[in-house]
Amino acid sequence: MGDSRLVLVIVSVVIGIVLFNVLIGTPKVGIITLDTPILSEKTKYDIIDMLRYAREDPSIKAVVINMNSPGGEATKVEEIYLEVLKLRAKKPVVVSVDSKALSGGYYIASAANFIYVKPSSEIGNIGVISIMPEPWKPDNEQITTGPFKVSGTSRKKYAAQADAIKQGFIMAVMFQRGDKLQVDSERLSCAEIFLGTEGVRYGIADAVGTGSDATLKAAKVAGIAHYDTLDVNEAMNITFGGRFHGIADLNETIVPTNYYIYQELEE
Amino acid sequence: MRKVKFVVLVITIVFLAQLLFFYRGVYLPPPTNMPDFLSITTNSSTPIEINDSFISGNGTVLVDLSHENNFNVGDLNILLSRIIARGYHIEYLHSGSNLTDHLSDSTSFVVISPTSSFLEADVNLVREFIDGGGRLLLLSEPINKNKINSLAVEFGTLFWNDYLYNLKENDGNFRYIYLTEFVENNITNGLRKIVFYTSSSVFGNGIIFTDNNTYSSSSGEKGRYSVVVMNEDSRVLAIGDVTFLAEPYNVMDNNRLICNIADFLAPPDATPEPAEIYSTTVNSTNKTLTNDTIFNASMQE
Repeated sequence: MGDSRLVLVIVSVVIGIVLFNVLIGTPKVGIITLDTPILSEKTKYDIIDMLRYAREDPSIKAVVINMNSPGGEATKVEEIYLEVLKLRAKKPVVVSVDSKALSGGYYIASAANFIYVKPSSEIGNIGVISIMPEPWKPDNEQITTGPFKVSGTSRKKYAAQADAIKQGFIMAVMFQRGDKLQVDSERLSCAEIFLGTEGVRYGIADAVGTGSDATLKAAKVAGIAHYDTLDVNEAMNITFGGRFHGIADLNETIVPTNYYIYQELEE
Repeated sequence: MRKVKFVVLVITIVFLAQLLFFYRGVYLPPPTNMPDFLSITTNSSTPIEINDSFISGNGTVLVDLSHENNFNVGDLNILLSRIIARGYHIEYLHSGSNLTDHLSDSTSFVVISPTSSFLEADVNLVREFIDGGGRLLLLSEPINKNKINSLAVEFGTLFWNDYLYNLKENDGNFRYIYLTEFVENNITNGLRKIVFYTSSSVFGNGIIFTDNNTYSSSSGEKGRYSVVVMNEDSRVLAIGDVTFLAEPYNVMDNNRLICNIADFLAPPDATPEPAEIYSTTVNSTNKTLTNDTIFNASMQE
């Protein structure tokens, strides 16, 4: 009798363990590394694919984004920002800023539940950069059907459009940071780069901490006490190699493009 | 039956134990606040039509092109058209031309963004010109590095090495500043609101100022900065922006300011009679020289 009961217990325990792993499984914290400017379609879709993977994988209960980006093309950044919001609606997202989350990098980070920075991380640079359209002069070799077919708009209007895009950026940051923010929109409009410690003081970031602090925080917000981590970049075989050197790297198009990107002054 | 219940119980306990081991709570997502992106509008004013009333005169306005001046002559078209409408003649001072000869025949001298310095001899010539009743217009803007102070300092004027910006209220960019503070003067006559497009502050006897929310890039402080000054008994006019002169930047009361500057550079003829007052519409479409005479007035009355 005793042996049979022991066997029953062992079998039941095994069934219990297997059932748990099949139905729920060991929870994971997904780690996504964004160590890139966001200038190409491929980079944008790689990032969005990783965010979707994290959102749809039932074993991933929380996400940490390791951020090291100077930003990128405005529309690409905005799409990634919206995808982070979608992810956040389902699972907690914590950003751990490495050396920089500037401009578009910060735009994306602002969508997270929590932002960790190192003391000397660089964050902020909230604004838009672009190149003015060249005034177009008509010639006999090229025919267009409207005055702004080539330039897109007048230089004066173009500046105003860039300002409108900036307003959207600031609005997005103020909405996501809410009462945590200790600076007003005028200060954000300056497009300053803040050190990590300044960022925490001004409510642009939440705390000084490491990547593992971010993982612990993400797990805590998700309500998970023990977990594995999953390198999403590795799982999806995605690596980034792009570097942004300056305005000359930006896409050359006839109609200018707007960027949320940090450009260092050339010597 | 008892065995089945026992198995189910053990499975449940093991399952719950693992659940409690891994999970201690649930995630409550915060509300997703989406900004109202559709409420954002582009803010950029457009040129408005004004009525330019003036008394015609006769003389020459000399425009300096002999100091590698960094500006587009075409951007002066509105101002030059107003000067020509007033009966004045425009001359350009090219490199190698004799400044003495040209100044002696001129009523006014216009210097814009020179990139080579005025030498002492030339500064003295301009000083003599001013002392003899001539008028001087100095224009510069921070975008173009230039040597305007090599002449300006002679007349108590300094173009500051800054640009002014306002993050609270502007014409579509933080560098496009509104100006609403005016000292009563012929240059500010009729002005309520003008816009300058990347202006430096100008040291001197200020007649147009920024509001207190405007910053200087050099000090990083906000304050009330002068952008237009008038010195030497109203003979020297210095302005910290050039772009406002050109289309489509001649918005709000900029056209009125341009007409007032034209009055400064092309004052009415000193000969007493007959004098005619003209009125013409200044807008982006009226580029003709036909003026509508509204009445004749004798200067002797």
